[in-house]
Amino acid sequence: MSDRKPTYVVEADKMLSSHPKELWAYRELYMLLVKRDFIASYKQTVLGPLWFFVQPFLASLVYIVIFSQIARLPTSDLPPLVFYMSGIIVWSYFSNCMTQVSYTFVSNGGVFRKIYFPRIIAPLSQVSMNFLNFLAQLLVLFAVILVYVWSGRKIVISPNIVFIPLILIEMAMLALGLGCLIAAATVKYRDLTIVVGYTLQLWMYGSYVIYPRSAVPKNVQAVELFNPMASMIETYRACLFGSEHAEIQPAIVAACMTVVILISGLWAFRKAEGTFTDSI
Amino acid sequence: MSVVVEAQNISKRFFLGERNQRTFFEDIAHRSRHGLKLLVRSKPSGEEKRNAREFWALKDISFKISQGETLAIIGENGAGKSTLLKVLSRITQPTTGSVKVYGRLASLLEVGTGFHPEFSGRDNVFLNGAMLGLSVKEVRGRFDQIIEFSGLEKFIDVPVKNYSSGMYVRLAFSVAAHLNPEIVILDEVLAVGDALFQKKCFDRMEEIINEGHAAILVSHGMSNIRRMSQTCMWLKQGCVEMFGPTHQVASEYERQTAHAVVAQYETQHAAPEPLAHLAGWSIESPVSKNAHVLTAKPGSVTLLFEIDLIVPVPIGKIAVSLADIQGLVLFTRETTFSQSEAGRIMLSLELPSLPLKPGEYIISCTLTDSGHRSAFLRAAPELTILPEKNAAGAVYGGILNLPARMAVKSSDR
Repeated sequence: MSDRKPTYVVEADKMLSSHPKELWAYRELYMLLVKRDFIASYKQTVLGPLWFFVQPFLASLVYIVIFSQIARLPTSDLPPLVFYMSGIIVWSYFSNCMTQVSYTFVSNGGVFRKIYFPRIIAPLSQVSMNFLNFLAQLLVLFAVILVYVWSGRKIVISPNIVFIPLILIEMAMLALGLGCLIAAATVKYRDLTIVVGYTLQLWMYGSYVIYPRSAVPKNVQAVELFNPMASMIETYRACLFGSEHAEIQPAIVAACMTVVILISGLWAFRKAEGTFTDSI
Repeated sequence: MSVVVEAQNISKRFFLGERNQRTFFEDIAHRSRHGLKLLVRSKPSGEEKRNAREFWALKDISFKISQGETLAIIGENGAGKSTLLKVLSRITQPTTGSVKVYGRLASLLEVGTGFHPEFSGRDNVFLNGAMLGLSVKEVRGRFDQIIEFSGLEKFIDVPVKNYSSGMYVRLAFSVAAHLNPEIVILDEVLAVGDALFQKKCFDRMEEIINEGHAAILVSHGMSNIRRMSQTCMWLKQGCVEMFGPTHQVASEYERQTAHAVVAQYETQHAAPEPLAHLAGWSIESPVSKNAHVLTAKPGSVTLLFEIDLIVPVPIGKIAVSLADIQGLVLFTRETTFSQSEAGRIMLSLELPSLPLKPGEYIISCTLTDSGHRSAFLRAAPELTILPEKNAAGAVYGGILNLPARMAVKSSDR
């Protein structure tokens, strides 16, 4: 026998994929999937791509009425629209990432059963698509801020804004990790995806999306240590506006949690991808 | 020739039954009963192993395929063919064993997966191509060929949701047919669309094989298997039943499936009270070798049947039918008879010639009485027709072996 190296080896006890080299070989598929998901999300809708912009507006209006006008929650020193919108776009980025990743095996089951490609490509492309979405919505936020500034309101954009991509990547890692854990578990328990929706909604109310940290009593703030999203969103607002102060200790805890969750998520995902076709 | 696929001792186990059907809370309860160590690693405990119904879809399959070789895989539904293909193409992991693949393997298990209905045919060609492992550049290079093959030039910028199902599969097959991998898995169900396009699909499949790619072919059509493959693996309940040169394996497979078909027919038509038995049958002919064997030469043939009637049949019908080994009925003849007493009757069927090509044939008699009771009597052993000794170079194709003389002369003009 020749000493050629096999293109691939399937073995009983080894995980099915994915050599980093192979991931690179499939980069074009990744790009096409990002493009597909991005375009597909507005094909055959009345407003088309406008939805990316209308959605956060509508959600912000609802929150203004409920939380600002009725419940009278403070919005630090920002106008309510700017405060809510900044929170909503970043939270929907995170929650969409996590939901879509956790649906990986359910929504791609048909393709996964027929064609091999590194499975992780699917959740990666979902996350990237949401990243693009977020950038588009961030532009809308800036437009809104511009209108406020024109009308004489003083809103300071912090120079720390350059760090925002880092926070977004950290959020993506957390969403990918959690999503992968859930995706792996859906192989056995299909209804877990339903729980994800409700959990994310509850989670949002505990994560400084609709109220600032300053509105929370000091003794309750310690809970933030267990909620990486709370710290990340606070850091994100601090980078945007400099209105709140990012605290270093929760940020470090959040980063550590993210790394641990991401690694265990990817491990569970790889374990699940070899056998999921047998049980779903 | 270098080996391109090497499979060693592949087995695949599925669990039927309760293992995957417990809910999350039942699992928790089960696990806490069995101690915490199970939480760490979810290996089934001994008890669980016994409870779960194990099912081995594949057992200990080993084979090699070299460059330019075509391996056919045959077997009934549920024999493990698709599980094997899924293991080879990395869709699912084997329980034991390993597969080494050298070169790009494209498995065309099902075409059109991953098509997005909202996108145009053009976009889907690129997307599907990328999923199957082509680069955008490669797709661009083959794009015109793909579209020409599909015959959908006019509709290529229309979203595929507006395609008819025929157009959809045509486009999908066209992408699949132009992958140019080193190893290709072909499934006969891939031949899709109308008759004309099906022909095109088959031609393309043969072309792929002839281009020197290694191929794995899954089919139920024995004629395609014979034409396109050299080696054949017959799977039965996850095990290799037979593995060897295609002509041998295919003949044996055909023989056995034909027996199964006839056996099924026999049980279906088994009368509650038997009407008759077939005591024996024989051939009387100048070209017969013995009672059940003929030579493929022209000559009159008489088939004789000895039938024991268990009950009297005052008005009855009796039919003789002749079928090939695949169960295709080639000839039937029917006559009426009257027998007021039970006992042995003789039935004879005279044929001026029996122009059949060499092979085995199934002969059966069907008896029906006026009360619509019937008996299906199968002649055993089968009729065997041997090739004519002196007819060197004679090639028997089709069904019949009509007496013919062939000559080639130069034309007078």
